[in-house]
Amino acid sequence: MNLLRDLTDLIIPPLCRVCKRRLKNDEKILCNDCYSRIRLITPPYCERCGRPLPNLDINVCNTCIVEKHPFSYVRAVSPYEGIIESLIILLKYNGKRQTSKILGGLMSKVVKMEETYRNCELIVPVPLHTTRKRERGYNQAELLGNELSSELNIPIIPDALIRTRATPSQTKLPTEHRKKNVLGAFSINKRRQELFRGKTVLLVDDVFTTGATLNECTKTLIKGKTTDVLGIVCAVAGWELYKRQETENNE
Amino acid sequence: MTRTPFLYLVISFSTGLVCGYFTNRLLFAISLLLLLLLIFIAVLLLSETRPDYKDIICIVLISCFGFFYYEGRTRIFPEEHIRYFTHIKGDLSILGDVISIPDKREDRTFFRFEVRSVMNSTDTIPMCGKVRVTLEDDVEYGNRLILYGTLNSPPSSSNPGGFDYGRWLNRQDIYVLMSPDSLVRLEGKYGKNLIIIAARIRTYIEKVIDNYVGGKQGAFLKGIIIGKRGGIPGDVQEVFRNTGVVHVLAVSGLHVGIIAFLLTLIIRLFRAPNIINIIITSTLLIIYALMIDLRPSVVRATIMCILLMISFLIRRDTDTLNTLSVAAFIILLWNPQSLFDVSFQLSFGATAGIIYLYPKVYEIIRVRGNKFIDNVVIKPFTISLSAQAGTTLLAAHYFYRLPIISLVANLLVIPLTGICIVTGLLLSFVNLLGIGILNKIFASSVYGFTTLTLNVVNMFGRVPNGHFWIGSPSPLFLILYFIILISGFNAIHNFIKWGFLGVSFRVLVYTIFISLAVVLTTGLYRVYNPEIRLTFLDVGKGNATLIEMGETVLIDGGSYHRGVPTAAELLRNKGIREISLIFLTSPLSYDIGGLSYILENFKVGCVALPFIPYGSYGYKKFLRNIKKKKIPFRFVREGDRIAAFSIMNPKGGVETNTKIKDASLVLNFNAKEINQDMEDIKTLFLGHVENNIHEMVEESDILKAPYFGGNRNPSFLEIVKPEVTVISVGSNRWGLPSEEMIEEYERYGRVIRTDRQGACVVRIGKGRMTIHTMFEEESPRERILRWTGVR
Repeated sequence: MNLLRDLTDLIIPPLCRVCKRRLKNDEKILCNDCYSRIRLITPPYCERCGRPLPNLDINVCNTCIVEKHPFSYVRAVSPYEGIIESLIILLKYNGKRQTSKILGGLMSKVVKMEETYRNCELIVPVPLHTTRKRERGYNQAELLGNELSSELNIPIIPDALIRTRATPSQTKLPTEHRKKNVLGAFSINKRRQELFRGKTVLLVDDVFTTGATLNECTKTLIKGKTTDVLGIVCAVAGWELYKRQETENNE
Repeated sequence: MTRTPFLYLVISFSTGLVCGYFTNRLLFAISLLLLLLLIFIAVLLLSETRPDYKDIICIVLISCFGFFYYEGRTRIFPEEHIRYFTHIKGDLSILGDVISIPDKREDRTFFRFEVRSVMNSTDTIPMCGKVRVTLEDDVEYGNRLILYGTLNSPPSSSNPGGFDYGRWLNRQDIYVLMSPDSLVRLEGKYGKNLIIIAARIRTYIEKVIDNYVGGKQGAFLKGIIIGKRGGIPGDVQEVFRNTGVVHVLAVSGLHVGIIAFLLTLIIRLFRAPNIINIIITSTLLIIYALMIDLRPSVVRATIMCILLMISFLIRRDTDTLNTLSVAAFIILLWNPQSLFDVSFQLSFGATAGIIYLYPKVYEIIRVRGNKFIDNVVIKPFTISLSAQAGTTLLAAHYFYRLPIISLVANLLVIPLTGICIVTGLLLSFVNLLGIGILNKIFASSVYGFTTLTLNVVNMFGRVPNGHFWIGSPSPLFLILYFIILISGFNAIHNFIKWGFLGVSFRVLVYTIFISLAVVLTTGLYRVYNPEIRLTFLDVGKGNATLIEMGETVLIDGGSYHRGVPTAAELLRNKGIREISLIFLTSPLSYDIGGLSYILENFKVGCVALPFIPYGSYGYKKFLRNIKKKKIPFRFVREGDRIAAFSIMNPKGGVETNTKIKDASLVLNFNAKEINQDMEDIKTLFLGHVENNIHEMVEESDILKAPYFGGNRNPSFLEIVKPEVTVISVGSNRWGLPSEEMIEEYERYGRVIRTDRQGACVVRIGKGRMTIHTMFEEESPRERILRWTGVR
């Protein structure tokens, strides 16, 4: 079978998803070069929303001081930039499902490292509306959740939440409209409620910007009698603000 | 570890094939192989993908394989090959199968025939090989027949720059032609099932189109859907060529793409899993390719389509250039000679252009901000531009024109053709349902769209200066052009993206220097080696002589070949748009021939003709054209001199009792009068004169024999003493030229017959004169001059 694989490699050479360079034998989906260029979020970061912070003096970012999130904790793998950004775009808009393997792997590493996630009992992905899901063919958060579930051996309930309203995409909305946009967009799947009643849930999404979507999901889950909701996302946007501070501090 | 392993494979394989192509001198071929390999490896070493020694060994081995593969497939034949039977003059009966879907035109059918055995009165000899058969009867694919008739070798090109029908057939592995007198059908089916299905679908679609559309539109539709180009009228094809959209007539990747897209959409409606969808689509695409008779462009598109679907299935991003190379490799393995085929080159040129150049060009000219303009105008335009960059000059090499209008025309014509294909196919589907009214609705919409498309193409064809006749660019020019194109865009791309000028820039600069050097040396060569060239064209039973002496002089118009005069074809091949002087020998139809066409399509300085009242249609049209275009003309007579031509006949004055033939023009052309350095060569054109020839001649070196070498009083030869006699003649029922006259001519020197030896080119230079006929092999010197574009 090795010969067959080599022949396939000749006819359809595997390429790195991001930089389109030819992959070496041990590489999959992403080349080592691109993989190493993913910037992981290291401490200090905001202990509520996981945004990277300029220094150790503060432990909560400015937005989290103003706004209280209903979930207890969110971590992001990386800032929304560079390789991670292109991977997420590929996953969400170009139908490249396999990128979820890379992203899910990175997320599971973060989850394994953090003490806080120890008592998670269930994984719940942020749902897509049925029309959007049909359009895309899959729910990217669910794919990420599946990866996490197999890595961490935690069961996943893909249809615990239902998106009842087809909301326009959050990406193009300004901050103030986002909250209104998703308000009441989710509901509990009554048939699955028994499965997560009184449990600690790990909520999975791709990008965290203002937290409006995660907030709404958390509220819905808490209405559904879950004990606690933790979140994990691939990337956090809106970190540029702190980067600017960082450079100022350096000066 | 490269992204495009097959690209290197195909390039090294083609290197071998190219050398195989020139292998009639083994030493030359081997040195060429080494040279090309050196260049290829040097380029590899320079570029980012540095090969190690294993790769280089691979490249050398593969190109050697290509070299021997070409030899084996094209030059070595089994002893019982049918091509060894063409010299037999009598009738033969051959038994074999129809192996291609027959191409039916009005009253004739063309098909390929695989020979199984040859039968004579006593026994049967097993045979192999393919024959192209022209038949007035109907046959189907897979029939087993016994044909009875004579075998012929296909004629090769007898005029410089003409379409070489023989070579074209050879490239399809056909070396024998046959038009059988009678045939016997045998029972049973001997075809492959898949092709039988394809043949049935093809006949069905053809029938539907004939029923519902018909006419010019029907012919066009048949051309674009089932690749039957034969029915499209010549003038329509010419307009398509002039506007640079002729590729839509040749079923191409575009069509396969549209069909694949339609199929996947339809199959997706049934919610089949991807793998089943892909299997069904691929099978149908293969049937379609078989329906189009496996033309390189369709095979290319089909292979690429299937590979792209597979890569989608196994979830891999892939490099399209590699996929293209896989397709090229498969086609070349199937038939190595397709590398030298026009349709192969154009198809791959266009696709490679789009794949390689499009992203780079788009980077440069994209419009940021306005998405609408970007998607609707810039992207299609860039695609069209990159495809054109890959093909235009290549096409000019074969068709001699530069259709600049095509940049715009393609933007409109391609989507329209797409609609025509889709509606045409839908009509065929709908017809299966058998609902009369639905058929009519679809048929009328198809008719409307095809008419619209044809009109749009016509409109673009009428745009003034839409195309230029630039002559055939030489192979060296094409090579330099492609190097400059690729390295230039690479350099710009690198500069924009990384901000530095890499290897490509150096390559670009060196190539530009080499090109300048080539231009300079060819220019100098031309200046220091002036040459007068007389081309006696092979125009069948007619006359046409082209004299290039700085200016261009044409004596008589010859005949038409596929709607264009042979002389015009040659002029366009050389990129000549202006004729300084046209001589008309006599108003007979053999002489006028294509002159009316030439007057209409070329810029003519002046016309000289003898004063002979004559009432034929062709002559009247010719005179009317002279008047209409306001071309200066002059009736010439004995004693007149125009440039280096002295006129010896007619005598002048209207004598009612002189025959037309006796009043025809007799010219004497002296090369020395053009340029003092030239060899003193006199050429005598004797027209058609019958009587008193000896009164109007003088000693000459080259003689154009009077009246197709017909019987004349040979006494004039004692005065002329021609070293070379050229007889321009084709097959005729009068037995011209006469044997006795040839004997007379041969007593003085060499006799060249255009029907036996093809066109004849006489080159007069400083202190030398060379004569080359088309069926002789070209001397290496001439070949190099032609390839480098000096002459």
